Amino acid sequence: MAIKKQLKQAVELLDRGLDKNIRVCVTGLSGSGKTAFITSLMSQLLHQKKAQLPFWLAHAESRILGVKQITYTDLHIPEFPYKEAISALESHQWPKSTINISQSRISIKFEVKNKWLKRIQPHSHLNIDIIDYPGEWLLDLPLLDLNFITWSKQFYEWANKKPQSKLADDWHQSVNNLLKAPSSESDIKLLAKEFRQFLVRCKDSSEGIHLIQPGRFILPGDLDGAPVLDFFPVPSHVNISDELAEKLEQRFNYYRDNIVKPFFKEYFTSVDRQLLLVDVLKVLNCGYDSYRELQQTLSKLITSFDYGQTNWFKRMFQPKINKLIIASSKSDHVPPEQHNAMRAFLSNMLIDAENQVGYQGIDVATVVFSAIQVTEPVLAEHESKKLACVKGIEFENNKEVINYPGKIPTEPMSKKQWSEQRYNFIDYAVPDLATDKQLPHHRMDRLIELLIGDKFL
Amino acid sequence: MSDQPIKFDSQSVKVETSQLDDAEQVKEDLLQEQQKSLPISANGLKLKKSAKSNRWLKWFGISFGSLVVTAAIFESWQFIQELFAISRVLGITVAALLVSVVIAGFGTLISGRIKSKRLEYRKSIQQKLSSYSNNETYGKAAKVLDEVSDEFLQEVDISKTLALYRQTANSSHNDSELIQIYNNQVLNGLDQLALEAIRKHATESALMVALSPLAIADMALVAWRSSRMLQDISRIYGCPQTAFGRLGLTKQVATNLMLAGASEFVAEAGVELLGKSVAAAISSKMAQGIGVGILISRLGIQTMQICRPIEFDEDNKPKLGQIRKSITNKILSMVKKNDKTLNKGKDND
Repeated sequence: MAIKKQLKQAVELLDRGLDKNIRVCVTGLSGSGKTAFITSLMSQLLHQKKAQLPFWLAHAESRILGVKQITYTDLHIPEFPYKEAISALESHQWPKSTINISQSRISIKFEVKNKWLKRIQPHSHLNIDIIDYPGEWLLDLPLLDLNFITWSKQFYEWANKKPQSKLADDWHQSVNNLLKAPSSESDIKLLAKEFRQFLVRCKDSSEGIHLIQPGRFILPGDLDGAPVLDFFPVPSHVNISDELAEKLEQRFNYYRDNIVKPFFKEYFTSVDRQLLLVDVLKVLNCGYDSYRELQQTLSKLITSFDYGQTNWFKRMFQPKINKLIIASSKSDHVPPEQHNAMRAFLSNMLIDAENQVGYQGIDVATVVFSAIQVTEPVLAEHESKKLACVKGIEFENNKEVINYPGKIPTEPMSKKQWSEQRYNFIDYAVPDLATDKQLPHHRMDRLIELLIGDKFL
Repeated sequence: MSDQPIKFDSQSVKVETSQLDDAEQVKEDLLQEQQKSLPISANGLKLKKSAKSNRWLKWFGISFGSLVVTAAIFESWQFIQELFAISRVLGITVAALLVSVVIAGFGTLISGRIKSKRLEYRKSIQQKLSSYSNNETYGKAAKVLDEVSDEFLQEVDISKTLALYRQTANSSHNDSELIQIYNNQVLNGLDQLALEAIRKHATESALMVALSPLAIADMALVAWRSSRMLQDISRIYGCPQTAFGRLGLTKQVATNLMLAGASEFVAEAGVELLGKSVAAAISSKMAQGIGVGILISRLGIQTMQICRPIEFDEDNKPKLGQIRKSITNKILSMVKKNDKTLNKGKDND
């Protein structure tokens, strides 16, 4: 009898093990394509019956029985606006950029392959939680490790570097002027406003500036006008009154401890798989300074998510991320023969960060993909040579163009090479898409396989 | 500079949507020479094949061959002359027969040669495709795969899976992805077909050997069945071999079996021996049957490896285990049936 009872327990345990939940964390700076990715992912999954997904192995083996969207347990989080995104695409517009957090849960029912597990349970299901949030807020993550003084120091180091240094003059001037006078509450408010304007200038500039902290200054969400956002970094050469210093530090700490920390704690705990989206094309367009800045920003982000023993993230949230996928979207903007070069470029850019994460025993993969394909590859004749280009509708003027964006290098470039080589990756508008079937894509199947493929035992 | 960006108005330039031309040929040194023995290699260094061949032996071969041919011509000339002396009609008939024999012989030889050339070409395709998928090229594999599909279509109706492949593959896939898709969607079905053929022939010959009373008959059976199997498998993979070509194929399969066998044998031997010992407890003739069945299925799997345009990787390599199981089951069930009929006979007594 005892054996039978133990056996039953073991079966139950296995059973529970088979009904799995997986939390996918889609990280990426604003404009890196998170919303498009989630929309496309849901479209591929929900239309999987007739979809072409050859590299999602469970699907290729026709073991996927059905997929549906189900309600999730965190009822206070709004649902990801999938329908809105689809109808936006239908009317030839890109889905709106995210301004608040949202979630979606998808359940996939599949046939079990493993011959031992199959005897216990022929069918199983996998729940996938996908979370979308503004990319701007992600940049607050490194703040968790800083205090007001170290943050101020870091900020001014950053602000003196190209390309953002060109935009910082106004800010330097106002901070120097206003801090001379005794500061009242209204002065603080005014300076905070100016600080915010500087950040917005950086964000809106065409130079490709990424590390814009704190994120809520750009996209306050429900914090608009709250006094917690009334602080700013103070340069070390300016002496300010103790009272002011205390006030600023208090607000910074409040921001860090009561806004940033709960945000990451709530949404990034128990994340199993992390996908980091990077917009490589923008950097190639903007040149060397932007490249270096993005490289540093991403390294900071990746190592903040770090998985090692001594890291605060580990101590606090005990994450169990076991796979990091670094992906560059918009591959359809690049002629397909250059996709390998694009992947090599991405890999070269993040080689240090990748190395550090790999050292922790985390699998790292790099992929070049396109969530929603809006162009098609063509061969154009140019100077009696055939040139691999892409054809699509240009976003700016709605005209059909054929674009050769330039040659992406497979080896890291020197500063001189960066200045010699020009790129012209243009934005494309959404063409006519049939939304009742899967959205056209590049390699979404490979991403699905990398993200969740190993769960379909 | 040609790698600077250019933007065209879509009306102003001529475009085509086809894939890039096969500009670069695969480097010759990427294609390894055909292996006839285990290579001597360490740390990426490899001993080249000895280029020296025995000059005396060559001389001997040529002169001996010419001697035989001359003798044959002389003999037949004399033979026909003698026949003419007897009767004109007889002479003409025999002469015509002789000519037709010579023509047919040459024809067979040449067509066999052509078909075995096709097998060699298949090997070069195999190497080309594997170098494409290792080097992550773009736009070269599609052409080769189309060529291979045409060859398949002459022997097997794969139009359905081929349509599925064409639907799945698009211009954004690079060569290694294309090859993978082709492998999964088209070749997988053919593999199943080939395995089924192997299973059929192996089981048949296992049964025949188990039932045949003569050792010499066993040998003939094995030779006959395995030759049929080679023909079937080579047809499934779109490079059918004639009797002459099959000899070349058999030689290749045998060398491969010897080379690959060493490692595979260690892995499989334990299981095989176990299977055999179970059978041996029943009858030694049955055990021989199972042994022959396994040998033939190993031959079959090696043939698959030679004929398949894309090399197997570790995941989709066909396993001997399943075939072995089906052979053993078949033979054992036959034994049981025999036992039952014997018992029935006893009961009747």
